[in-house]
Amino acid sequence: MSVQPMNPFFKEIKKPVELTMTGNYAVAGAVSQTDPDVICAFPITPQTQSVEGLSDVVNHGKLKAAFVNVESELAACAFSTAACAAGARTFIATASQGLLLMAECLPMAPGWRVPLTMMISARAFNSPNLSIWNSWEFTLLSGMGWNTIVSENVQETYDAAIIASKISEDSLFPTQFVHDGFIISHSAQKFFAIPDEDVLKYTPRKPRHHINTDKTGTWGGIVTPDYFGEGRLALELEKNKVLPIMDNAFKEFKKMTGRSYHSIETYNLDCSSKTVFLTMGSMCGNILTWMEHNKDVGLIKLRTWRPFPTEQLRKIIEENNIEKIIILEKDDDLSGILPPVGQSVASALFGINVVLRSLIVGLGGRDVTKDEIEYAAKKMKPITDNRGKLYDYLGVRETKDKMWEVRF
Amino acid sequence: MAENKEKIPKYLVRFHGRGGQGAVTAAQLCSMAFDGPATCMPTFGAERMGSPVASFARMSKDYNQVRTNEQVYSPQYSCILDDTLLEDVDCTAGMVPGGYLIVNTCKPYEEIREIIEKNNPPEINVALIDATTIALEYLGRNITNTLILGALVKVAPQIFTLDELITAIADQFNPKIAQKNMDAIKTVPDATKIYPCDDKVKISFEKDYKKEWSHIGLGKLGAAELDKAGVWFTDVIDGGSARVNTGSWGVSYATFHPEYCIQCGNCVFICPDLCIEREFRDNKWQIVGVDEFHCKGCENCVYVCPGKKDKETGEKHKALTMVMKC
Repeated sequence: MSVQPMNPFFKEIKKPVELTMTGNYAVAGAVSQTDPDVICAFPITPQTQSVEGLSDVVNHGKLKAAFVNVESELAACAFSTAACAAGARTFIATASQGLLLMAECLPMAPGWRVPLTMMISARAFNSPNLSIWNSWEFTLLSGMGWNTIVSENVQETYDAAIIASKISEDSLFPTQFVHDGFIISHSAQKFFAIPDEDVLKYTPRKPRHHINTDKTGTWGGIVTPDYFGEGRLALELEKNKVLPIMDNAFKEFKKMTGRSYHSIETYNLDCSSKTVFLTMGSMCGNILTWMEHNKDVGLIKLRTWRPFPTEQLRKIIEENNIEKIIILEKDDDLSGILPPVGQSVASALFGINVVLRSLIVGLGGRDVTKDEIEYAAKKMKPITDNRGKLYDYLGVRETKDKMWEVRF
Repeated sequence: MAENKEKIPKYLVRFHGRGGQGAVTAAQLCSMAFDGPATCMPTFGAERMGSPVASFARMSKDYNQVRTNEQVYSPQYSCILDDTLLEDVDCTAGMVPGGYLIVNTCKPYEEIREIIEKNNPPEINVALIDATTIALEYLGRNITNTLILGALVKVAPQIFTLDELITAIADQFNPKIAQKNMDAIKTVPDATKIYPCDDKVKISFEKDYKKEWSHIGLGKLGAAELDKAGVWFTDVIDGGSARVNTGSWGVSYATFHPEYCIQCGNCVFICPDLCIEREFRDNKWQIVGVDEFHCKGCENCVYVCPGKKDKETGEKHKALTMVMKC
């Protein structure tokens, strides 16, 4: 091949180096640095290149891992969960319909407490039409018990691949890290790669429970009503400890690289209008560039989607006296109460006197530009209470010659 | 402080090419060569060899200017890797007044100007470079992405220098191909011809020229008109390949010579675009020609055609041969 995208990761990275790569290849590089034992994924647009890149590194010989080809996403997820239960550090990746096919297997990894790491290149579900472009499918399957972190750009998704591995290992819950399909996965950006030695020091292998012939046991066997509820509560109690573990992982990452991440990041919250955008992923970048010229609106950026950082969000809203929240999201819930992100935010903020509206933008990969952001900010100005409809679609055509007017 | 920040220029470049010509790699080289924060992205989607594609690069020393993940709607520089695209796509759409249109072509300036005037572009400069000839000479293949970047260096030396570009090429390609590209690129600045517009028009690197909702584009069906959304009624929604002129993608197309055809049907099965035309004659289907509107010149049919011996000369001729356009 004339272009060798994975070239920089074929040899040891000895000091921090600036690279230009697409999101998927950057993730492949980061995962290869965390030294996984098993890589098992089924290709689906727009995730494919991440596994492709990893197969390159394995083939080159730098990474000593089992690269397993399976027949479907369901098999990939089952295989990976089992490999991880056997004690291997395992990486898996998928998107959209692949995630749906995995759905049957997804709750098992948190149930068995195996530290699986999964990348998701967010892509729309096929309804009503097939779309290979970006929407947030992962928000609709977020009740499974997986930790989920969302990245804004290539640097963040590269870092997330490394942080996710640590979070999984420390919390013994599987972790997904998400970037927007095509928008980040296929966009080449500059980022700093971390030296191999530092990555390995940051993500050490820890002794944990695994399938073992010396200490036999049954994994996932049937239990009567005597035990099932107790099992779920045991999971819940452990899951409650994950947010501090994540914060600790972010803190240690800052010590290593100087790049500071938090579960919730805020920008310009002391703005005059006391109005903030709340969103995740690549859209944060669009809003921040727009905010260069529009200083009277702030931004709350969610990095941790699950476990949802409820207390932190409540504290931020109350301490900064935020009056209005505009939620931008790339998913919908047909005729539901609110779309998924709106639902989580509204229930997290229950009882706090804040006005919020959710806007559905950029479905199926449509670009979210300053037009949408400006329109949303303008539309929010006259709104003073939480009565009426709380969400609407933005940036779609109603007819051939008219844009859909947002109706709250 | 805030006023100073406004003055940091933001460079926006768009590349138009055909799948396989390297438009995406060109944008990536751009962001690699630039000394500072830069991002690049393709028009996202499944691409086939020869289909029109575009890619963008956004560069600025001020990180917050390039933090956005929007596509580029108002480029200062629009680079066209293949001049047949000028007829198919509006390559000047949204361009900044005083910007540059860089075209790989062997046609004279007047002819190019005539084509682009059809889209009513703003006042822009045009730079022409016959990159295909250079590419065939140095690389042996019609891949002109690095060469068009050489022309970009000539018209916009403030973005990155030729040396920076050459370093990026050395990083991106394997050594053998990189060396060929480096040799070729050195000849480009001298071969680039610039046709400036009215010099009163000053190019702006700060102002935003995007028209409101231009990324959505009214004119196509809206939500209220799609009563069975998801079901393709192909008379109202673009679907299928009947109207896609894949014939304009290639540099050559197949022609049919009935006198050498033995009606074996190999070409019918191998053609990916169902371009071999057949008619029902004498109680069987017979091959009668090639659909030039859809033939994108893959040559598969020529490869499988067994041909037939000429009765007079005894030479073997194929029933399908490739003909170069123009």
